[in-house]
Amino acid sequence: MSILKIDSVSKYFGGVAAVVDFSMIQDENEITGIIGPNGAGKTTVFNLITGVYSMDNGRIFFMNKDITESPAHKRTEAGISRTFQNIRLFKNLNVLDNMKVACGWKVRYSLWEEMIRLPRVIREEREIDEKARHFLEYLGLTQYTDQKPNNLPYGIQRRLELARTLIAEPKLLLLDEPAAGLNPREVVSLMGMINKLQQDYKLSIIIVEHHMELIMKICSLIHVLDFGKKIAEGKPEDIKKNELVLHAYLGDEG
Amino acid sequence: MNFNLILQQLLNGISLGGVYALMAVGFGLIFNVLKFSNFSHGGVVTISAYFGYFMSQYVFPNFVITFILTAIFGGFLGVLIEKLIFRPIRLKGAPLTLFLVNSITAAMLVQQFFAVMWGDNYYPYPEFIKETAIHMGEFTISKIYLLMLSISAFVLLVLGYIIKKTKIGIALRAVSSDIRTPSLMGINIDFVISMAFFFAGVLGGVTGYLLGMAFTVDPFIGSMIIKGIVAAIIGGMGSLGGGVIAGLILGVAESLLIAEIGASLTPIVVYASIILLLLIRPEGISGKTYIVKA
Repeated sequence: MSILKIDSVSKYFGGVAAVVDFSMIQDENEITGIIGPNGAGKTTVFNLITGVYSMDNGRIFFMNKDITESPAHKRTEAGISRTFQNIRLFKNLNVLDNMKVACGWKVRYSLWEEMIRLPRVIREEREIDEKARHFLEYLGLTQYTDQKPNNLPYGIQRRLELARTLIAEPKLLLLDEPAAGLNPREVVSLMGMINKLQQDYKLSIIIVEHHMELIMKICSLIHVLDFGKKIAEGKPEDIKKNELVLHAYLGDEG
Repeated sequence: MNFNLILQQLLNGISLGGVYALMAVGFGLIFNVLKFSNFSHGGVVTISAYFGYFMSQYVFPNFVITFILTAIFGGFLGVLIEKLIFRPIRLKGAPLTLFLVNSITAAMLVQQFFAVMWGDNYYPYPEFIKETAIHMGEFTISKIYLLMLSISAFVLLVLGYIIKKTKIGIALRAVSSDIRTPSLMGINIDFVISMAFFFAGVLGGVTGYLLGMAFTVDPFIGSMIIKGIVAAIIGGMGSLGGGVIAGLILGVAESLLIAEIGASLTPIVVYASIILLLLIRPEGISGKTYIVKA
């Protein structure tokens, strides 16, 4: 069963083709990788999936629904969550509030109820609080609950971003270079974590990453981009041997 | 100045400062989210003052009902203003200067409109409180000032709770620090901005009602907003708490100075000290650094 279908999507910035005619199918409960040299358009693909950019051509289907025209927050509500290449936590909120930002926007109470604080609203606020603390605990972040994210080590900030995506109860998780800036030991624990949460929450995951070891170990399918075009698609062992890929990464003499 | 007079002016000053604080926060809420100085907040104050006057004079001669109605009216007025004059230019990606120009224009429009329609007269609110002062020996406390103080404190506390604890408050703070990313957390940015204008509008409605009740209603009542803006700047833009403290200080300073050097010299001394203060400490009393916008 496919959860996400990207159908020949293109995106141009001025005259520059960031993504050209890109198609992919993401199966449920699978971990897929997107790799490619710098500037190949990997993050642009994420931005198109999440609705940060509008696309110039093509369509995107999520759970068999056409989401091409949906605004970003609707796509998150539908079940697409992401992390960012450069961590985007809210500096002025503490760790717990950073979690709460991302949660519970599916059930929305009206302004009036908010004003008069109906019991339902109070219950909901408490549920959000419990949920936020639960996911902090799940990723071992409980001790940082009241701290500001800027004071935390880089690896912890990355993990907090991951926890924040979970609270929205996504079905599809997009990880944009989750291993960037992590030391080798942290990368190993990250791989374990991604596998664990994929199984615990039955997630479909797409990873953009430069860290080849991580990609080759945990992805069942890999798409390779170069200058906005897909040049290869296949299982890790095939990609390793693919001449076009080697050429893109290493140049002519490779 | 004798001791009683000082004490009394102190109380008056805190009451007045409470209203300045309301304005500073109403102004600061929008500045935090959209990073421009929203002079149209003065327009909300003016319209609400007239609305409160007409409601209490002709529809419900009851303080509590008209007060709540005016507060809610102000809230929806804020939402309407955002939809009419700020949202269209925001969706087109207009520069911040244009927001500033639009907000000043809106404030002028409201002022001139009321000056033409009802500017020929002063409109006093009905006397809700028959005995207007409490006497304790030599000490006289105006009931309206006490009411002003307690209402301002209550409204600010409720708002503080909403911003600190609730989902919408957290979303507001998130949008304040980064207006794009929260949409990827499932937050509808347009909705959050509407809410910011609603809360600011409620504060504007309360301010208009209190000012109208304490003084009289005239078209230029909204220009009192300049005090609120000054308080927000001294408090340190971006810090709502700083704005509250600065509002109180401003109110107290004004009241004490009026008693000491008279009403005509007071503004000169106040504004001169503000310039001096900002020369010494440009980041305001809260000491937050912020990026200067329009």
